[in-house]
Amino acid sequence: MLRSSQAGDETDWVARVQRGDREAFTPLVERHERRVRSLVYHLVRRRDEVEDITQEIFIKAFKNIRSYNGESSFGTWLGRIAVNHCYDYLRREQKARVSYHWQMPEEAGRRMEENLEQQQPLSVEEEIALRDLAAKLLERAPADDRVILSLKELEDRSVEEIAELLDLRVNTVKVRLHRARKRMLEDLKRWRQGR
Amino acid sequence: MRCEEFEERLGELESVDLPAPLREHAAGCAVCRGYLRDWRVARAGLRLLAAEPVPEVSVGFAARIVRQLEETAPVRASEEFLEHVGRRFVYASLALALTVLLFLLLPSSGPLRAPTTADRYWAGPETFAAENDLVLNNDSASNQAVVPNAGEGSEETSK
Repeated sequence: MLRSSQAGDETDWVARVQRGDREAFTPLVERHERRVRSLVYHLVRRRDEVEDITQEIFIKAFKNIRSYNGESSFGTWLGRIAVNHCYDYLRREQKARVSYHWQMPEEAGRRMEENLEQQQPLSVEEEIALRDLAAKLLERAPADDRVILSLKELEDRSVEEIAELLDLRVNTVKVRLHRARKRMLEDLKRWRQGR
Repeated sequence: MRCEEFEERLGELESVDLPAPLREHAAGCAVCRGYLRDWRVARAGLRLLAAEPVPEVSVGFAARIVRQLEETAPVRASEEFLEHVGRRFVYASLALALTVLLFLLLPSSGPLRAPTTADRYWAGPETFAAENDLVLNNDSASNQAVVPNAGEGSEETSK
């Protein structure tokens, strides 16, 4: 959350950019770059693309800055642009879906599940396998599910924040989250049955 | 507790510790035990993903963006409005054109359609032969009602 003086600075910078002062965009980029980059990385999960996509989002924000009317904070407005941009990217990319395989023998998988149940620490190999599995489950999920799950589980955003970013009602977000989780677990179950 | 409720409450859990009602339901329901096992695996994997460090951008990122902005101008609100309205106008025109085209191309149909002059013209000489058929003409009045202009045809024949 921005302090009031910071928010005041931000309003001033936005107003200057809206009047055509490009230099005033620099502090806005500096202030929000980390947040946008994290969002992009968690939604898209392509290390090699994060910088380019983040740059595209800032340029899009600059082009549309006159449509920003201060109804929400600049960060939320920028977040919406970022989510929509990532969503478009995912829809384009998902044409080439990858299939996954979990590189873990059945016995080792069962041992890991027991460790998880008893809340025991995992080995490095188990952690790598789990991370790989979760990443592949997200890759395989439809773009809508992937965005909402990433915002909740990776970005750790509250349901209210997600509702603001996606321009949805809080209850709709809850329902969509539940369905997205369920679909992801069904996918995991299908994978188990095919193992 | 229903299985659906079990799944919903599990999704909303912040910690990995199961509250007693969920534990009790899982103990007596094999389907939900399987769901819980998958949920633990997926959740642990997602937690690990979330903990991964986000890649850094290269030095001078903000300056590079601002340099790039020199070739870019913000879209004016009026331009944006015109573009928005213009796009809607184009879509509406296309929809209207498509409707008119469909109306012109598709033939009218249905059991109540009356024969038109064009239908009679395209029906060919067989129709006229039927009209001049003596058997038909000499039949009852109902036949005259069925065959158009049957009466006129008979008058011409008798003449």
